[in-house]
Amino acid sequence: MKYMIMTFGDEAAWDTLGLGGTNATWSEEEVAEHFAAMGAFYADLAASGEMVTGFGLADPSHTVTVELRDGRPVASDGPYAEAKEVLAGFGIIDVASHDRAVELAGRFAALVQTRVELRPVMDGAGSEL
Amino acid sequence: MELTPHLEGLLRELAPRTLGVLVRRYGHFDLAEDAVQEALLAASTTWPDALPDNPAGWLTTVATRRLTDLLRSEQARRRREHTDASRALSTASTSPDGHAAEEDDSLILLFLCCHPALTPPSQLALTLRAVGGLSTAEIASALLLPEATITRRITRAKQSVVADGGRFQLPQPEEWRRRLDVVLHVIYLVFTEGHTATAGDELVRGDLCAEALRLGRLLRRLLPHEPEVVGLLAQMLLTDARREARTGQDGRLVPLAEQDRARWDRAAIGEGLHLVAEALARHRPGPYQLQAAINALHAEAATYQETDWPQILALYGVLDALADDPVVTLNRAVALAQVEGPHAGLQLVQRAAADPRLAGHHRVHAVRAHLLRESGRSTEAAQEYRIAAQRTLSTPERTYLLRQAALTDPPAPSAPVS
Repeated sequence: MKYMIMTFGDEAAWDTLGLGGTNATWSEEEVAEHFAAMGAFYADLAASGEMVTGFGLADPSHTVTVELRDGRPVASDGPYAEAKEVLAGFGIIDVASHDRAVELAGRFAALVQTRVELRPVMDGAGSEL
Repeated sequence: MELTPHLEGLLRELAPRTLGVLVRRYGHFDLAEDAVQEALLAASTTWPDALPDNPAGWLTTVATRRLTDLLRSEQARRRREHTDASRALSTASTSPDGHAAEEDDSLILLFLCCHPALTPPSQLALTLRAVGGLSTAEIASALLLPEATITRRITRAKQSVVADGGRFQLPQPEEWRRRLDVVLHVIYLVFTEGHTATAGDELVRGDLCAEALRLGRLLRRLLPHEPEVVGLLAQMLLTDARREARTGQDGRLVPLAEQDRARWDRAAIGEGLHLVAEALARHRPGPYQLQAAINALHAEAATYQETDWPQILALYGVLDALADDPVVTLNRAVALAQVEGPHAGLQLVQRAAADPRLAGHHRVHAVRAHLLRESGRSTEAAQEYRIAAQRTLSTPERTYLLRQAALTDPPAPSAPVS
């Protein structure tokens, strides 16, 4: 069964991570350590054959909103509205059980030091009724 | 070059036999499996032009040569790492050749791939590759996963088997029964992966059903006296016979009650019925035989209404006592409702729902909804259908359940605007 693990951060999180940025609260070593730990986690998942895919997302200032106006798609930059929490990254895993998914989400939460959300992915299969 | 079905069938049949020969002679299950894959690839490019006189011998020779290369580079690697320079090719050969039939080798391979140290998804992937002779890419597309995921899963599974001793022999008698159960379960998993697929991916996944049936037939050839092996094959054939009828043109799920029985595969049903009779005659009933027997009764009924429900109810009673599976109890509730009316069915659902393993399971609500509707309690029924739709993780089931909710409880006409 497939699950999506999502991690969130407030907008400032990208700045605090930024190397040498004005708001950087993490030292270079801390940032390197964090990325190494994330890399090791992904490598473990890949090695066990449970990794489907996963990415960290770019700074939220790159966000583009696309909406329909009079039935036509219109793209605009933003939203810039102060969002408390935005999606920072996600991974898709394929695991043998729900318990295993929760266990992996727990490890992930420890790595990112924040809450993560876990949601099952809908399946195209259906049993006979 | 495109392989003819005949060549493809031949390669699939020879794959586990070749691997069996290699592992028996040289050990090194993991490297031997790689070597056989490469030999299969070589065969698929050269055989369409010129089929060797002795295809099995050809594959074994090419795979052995490849294994020798792999072992040499493995040795070199180990030497470089200063870990174990003394391992030589000769250490591998342990058991004398030729005394056991190649068929036994295939059976041993199946048991190895269904090693209890592996998770079911790993057992499934490894079985498809080592016994089914499918390429990693084929397995990945059938399971709708990236190839890298399947590659890692297989590599890891092979390592686990090797690390756990993975001796190339049949399990001890006391272990045998448990391992056979796992083998049956894995073959059935392959089947359900293919069978539960709907429209979009029908093509690739239908192949999984065919592969499961092939494995089921292989296992029956290897263990002709095990009634559960026969029962599993019958269960798969009788279920697969309904494949065409269970999906509507728009990919919608068509429940058993509404299926066009003219679209059922009569040849598969005929074979399935024959196998059910053969298995039950041994008087050692098991879950697969009982499920097959229930499906046989469905297959024999001209219409849903003419189904022999009392007989099905009796079979579910035996299965329920044997299986300790609350989902079976739920199915029994449906049969009970057909025999004694929805009220009796609902009471049994209530009992099944108390099982913690079914907590929050959408099937409880789907069955309850169905029975509530039967007893004319449409508002409650619609509500249960909606809960079921919310809880299922299957898109086609969700569509079906929401539709039932709408059909059961048509929305009141909107109030006129005053």
